Amino acid sequence: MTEHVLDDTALLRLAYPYALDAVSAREESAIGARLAVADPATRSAFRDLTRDVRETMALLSSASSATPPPRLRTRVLDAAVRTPQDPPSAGAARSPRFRWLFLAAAAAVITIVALGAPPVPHYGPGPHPDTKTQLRDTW
Amino acid sequence: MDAPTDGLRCLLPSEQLDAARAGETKRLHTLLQRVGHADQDAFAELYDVSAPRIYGMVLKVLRDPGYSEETTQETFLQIWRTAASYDPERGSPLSWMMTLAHRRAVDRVRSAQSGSNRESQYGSKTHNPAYDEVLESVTQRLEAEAVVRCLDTLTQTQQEAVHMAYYGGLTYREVAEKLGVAVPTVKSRMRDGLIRLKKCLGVEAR
Repeated sequence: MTEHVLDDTALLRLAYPYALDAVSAREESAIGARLAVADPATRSAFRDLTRDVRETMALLSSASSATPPPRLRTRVLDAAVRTPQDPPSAGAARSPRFRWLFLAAAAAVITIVALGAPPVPHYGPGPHPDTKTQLRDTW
Repeated sequence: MDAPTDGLRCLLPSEQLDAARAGETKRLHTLLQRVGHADQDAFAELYDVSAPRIYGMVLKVLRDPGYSEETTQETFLQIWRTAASYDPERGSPLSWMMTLAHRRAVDRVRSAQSGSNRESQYGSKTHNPAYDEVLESVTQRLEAEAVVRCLDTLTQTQQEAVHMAYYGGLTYREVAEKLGVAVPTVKSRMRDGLIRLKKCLGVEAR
């Protein structure tokens, strides 16, 4: 099975799926909690990995660009006129990029709960569907 | 464990690309700063420059033009509201905006997943608008060509894992389940593929 204990190596490996938004909400909380108690070097390594993946994926957007219908431009610009802007700190708090900073308070509890839980919470208890493949492929 | 990834930066006009990216980053950053001060003209310009890339990515994830328009609109309003909080230390403006958009698109996929017949199998009915029709500049065409070439340097399984996660909105565990392979294998494919892609595209480690 996978990470029962989220050590630094396991944590940093999760930076890749995390940066792709490819972790579950529960796992994201566990990562946030773990980062909150990680040493600064680990935290900064995680941040660098995440940032690089996001920069990379952002570049991919040049190959999939598509012109939205003109009405969207009108709608967006009209809506902005009616939408008040957030003060800088409030905006920072909502940024998904570093949401984990704001999960620090729940760190200890979530770490214990999430890391002690079965690794595939969404699919319920019982044998993992790819147990055979897993044995063959684990390395 | 580490796939041989050195020497993969194979692209012809990399200096030109680097210069173009730097120029664009500067331009977007200036626009974001103005947007942060409620400058409507700057917001319109920011929209014109970045909407095709944001909408195109969102459309690739959601596949439904109507939902994609909504999600693109929500993303731009979030950019409008929070532009003053953009911190260049955490990434380029394009990366910041694409991250916001991707997160919204994925949230939408996940909240709609039950009861939806959305087919998220890799390769099926992939929405792929002809990219050359919308590129506004030579620079963007070069960048798009670089992306296509760099994606080609990934193995099929690496491409598949990254694609299913990023454009399919699946978690890495869901990707593993769909492919019927072990979770650590999928994680390695994603990681190795992303490292390779990053090097090939010349994303500098700071």
